[in-house]
Amino acid sequence: MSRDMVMQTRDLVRHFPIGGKQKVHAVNGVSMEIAAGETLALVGESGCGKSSFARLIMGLDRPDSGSARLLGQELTQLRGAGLHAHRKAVQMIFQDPTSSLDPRWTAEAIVREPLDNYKVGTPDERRARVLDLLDRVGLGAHYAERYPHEMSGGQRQRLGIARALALEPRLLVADEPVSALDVSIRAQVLNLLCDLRDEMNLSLLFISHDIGVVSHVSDRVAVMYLGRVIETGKTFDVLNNPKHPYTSGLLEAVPRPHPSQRRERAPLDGDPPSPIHLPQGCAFRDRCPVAMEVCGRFTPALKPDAEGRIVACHHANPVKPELEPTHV
Amino acid sequence: MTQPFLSVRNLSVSFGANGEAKVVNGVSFDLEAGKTLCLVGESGSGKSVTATSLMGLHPAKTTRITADRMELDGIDLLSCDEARFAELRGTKMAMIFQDPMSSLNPALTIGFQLREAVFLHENLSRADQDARVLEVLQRVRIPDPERRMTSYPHELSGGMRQRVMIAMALICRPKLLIADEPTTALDVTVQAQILWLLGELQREFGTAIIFITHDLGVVAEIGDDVAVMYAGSLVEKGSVFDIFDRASHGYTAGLLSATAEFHPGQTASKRLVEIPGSLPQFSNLPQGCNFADRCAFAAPSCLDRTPDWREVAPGHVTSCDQPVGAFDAPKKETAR
Ligand SMILES: Nc1ncnc2c1ncn2[C@@H]1O[C@H](COP(=O)(O)OP(=O)(O)OP(=O)(O)O)[C@@H](O)[C@H]1O
Ligand SMILES: Nc1ncnc2c1ncn2[C@@H]1O[C@H](COP(=O)(O)OP(=O)(O)OP(=O)(O)O)[C@@H](O)[C@H]1O
Ligand SMILES: [Mg+2]
Ligand SMILES: [Mg+2]
Repeated sequence: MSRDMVMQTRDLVRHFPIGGKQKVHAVNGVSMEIAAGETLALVGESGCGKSSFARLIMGLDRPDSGSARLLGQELTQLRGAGLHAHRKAVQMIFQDPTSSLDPRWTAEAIVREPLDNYKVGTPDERRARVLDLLDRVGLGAHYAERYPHEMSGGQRQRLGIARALALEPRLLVADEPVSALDVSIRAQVLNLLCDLRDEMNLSLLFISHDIGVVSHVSDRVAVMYLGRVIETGKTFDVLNNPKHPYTSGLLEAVPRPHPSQRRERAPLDGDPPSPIHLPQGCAFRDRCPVAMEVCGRFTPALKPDAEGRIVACHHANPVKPELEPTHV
Repeated sequence: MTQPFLSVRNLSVSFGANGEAKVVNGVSFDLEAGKTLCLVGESGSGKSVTATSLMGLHPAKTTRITADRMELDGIDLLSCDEARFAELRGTKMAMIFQDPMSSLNPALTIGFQLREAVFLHENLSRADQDARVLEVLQRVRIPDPERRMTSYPHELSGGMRQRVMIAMALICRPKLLIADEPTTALDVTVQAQILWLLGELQREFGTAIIFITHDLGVVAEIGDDVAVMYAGSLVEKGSVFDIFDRASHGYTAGLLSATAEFHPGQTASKRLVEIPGSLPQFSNLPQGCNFADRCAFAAPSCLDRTPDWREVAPGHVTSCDQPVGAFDAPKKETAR
């Protein structure tokens, strides 16, 4: 791969201790890459570790093991000033625009804060930049003096985007950025986000439950299950020809867009295993319609199958017992 | 003609000592037993207030509810007092909410809360209560239900908690179930399980369901009829096919075209169709049609004249002055 990788993780692990020697295995060895200008969508069942992973690459939380390189820098080795500089290049948009904006600050103050923080330009230059940013997200100069509660949900989310873009980040992490918005406003915010991404050649990690939205905005998709990536590839390939049985189940579960297409079968049954007691072997095997005996013994590795599609499933990559190590 | 199971005519709800804030304005609909009516619309358009008014969940002191008719299975809900409503909830009707965590008591076991729900309404022995609770937990497919009866809410996943809420709503076999965004906080696999379960239970018990949602995909999946609300009023009502194939209000058409859908085999376009602007303030509703200034199809007259209700086809009504020919949903690819 010759393209510049903006973000690259290897076997990233984060286990949250919860007392009594027990741990929540939130992130269990995630390897992921995002190239410059690329949008990677991260999907998967609630609680599978998407937000925990995002916090790790934001530098808001530290991994227990593994590596995360951002713009060529090893994140886990950054401290103090280095971490401060890193946080400038990676910005985040949150799900709930209301709780992530300080209600006592005006729109201008909210967008200017990161510029003040990093002492970008003179105060006059900062003010001009804030107005320019507000303008780019479709909030005219007269919004500068408004407080968040004087704005609609969509306007608040655009304000959050303006703030995230103030420092010209290279990577934007958007954790469910539109799921709290109405359908009518969702399209406005998504189009804006994609326009700005293209103009600024931003990389985007886009976390979402909404496969429709994912199919519109992303270049690649990574599907997570119980703290691991179980399939990744081009959005079109993964959504139209899923290789992992969980990905198939997930796509099956997406509501059909028209009443003439109602499903006739019950969707994927059951619940994922507890992240406290990880099962041996493949985490999906209890719910998997095609599980085999070997699935209970070895955890399938994430690797290319015969067609070059990247998937962690014993069906795609049959185990050769004599070649496999005996430990799990 | 027989009376529909649930019949609502011209329901209006206002809050405040002098009824300053009229948040539901002249809503009418009918619902048959065993059918699902989906109530859709923008956040703040009055969906939940409509539902909670039917359930008698508003304090009478601060709420003014008026209607020409509000009848459930022959019972005049307008004349019910709080005690009568309390009796109806759990026997004739039940409600499930978006956030199961806030409706479950975190300090009590699942089994205790479910037993309490049975006990409130039926005089059963402890053993019979337990049997009923177990049966209903099995019905909603809680794995290992005996053990789960001793679990606390935080020990369950979000999907399981919502299934417990459904169990609680169903334990007295209500005739009307109001589900207020019961799957909005869940991911699609859990959502699909819950929708499937509700459908099964409906077929079995003939429950009428009012399902409140933002999500048109969910409507396509489960709705028989659809009512679309905007700024406190119904703007369009019809069968699910009327709404998806022959939308005749600009807001409905806008919602349908702004939804990001996944179509297998097609490369999704990069741009989504937008509905510009946002919901008007209740205190400051525009003259004429409430939606006119955001409507892609508005004529100059829409800004002055309040639209009439029109029947565009049998059972398909719209409050739009320009519904003729039904809107061709704007093309997904149209650029700004
Ligand atoms: N600080 C913490 N301490 C203990 N457990 C945690 C902590 N943060 C997250 N978890 C647990 O880690 C797991 C992964 O959580 P995470 O929030 O990353 O999931 P998610 O994929 O973002 O889910 P959702 O789609 O619901 O947002 C969950 O089981 C969660 O309960
Ligand atoms: N108790 C109350 N007192 C005053 N106003 C209220 C009260 N309850 C609701 N409202 C207002 O009534 C309007 C309609 O609210 P409602 O909760 O019915 O909207 P909704 O359509 O359910 O929206 P959402 O999709 O966000 O749940 C809103 O403007 C809301 O602020
Ligand atoms: Mg999350
Ligand atoms: Mg509501």
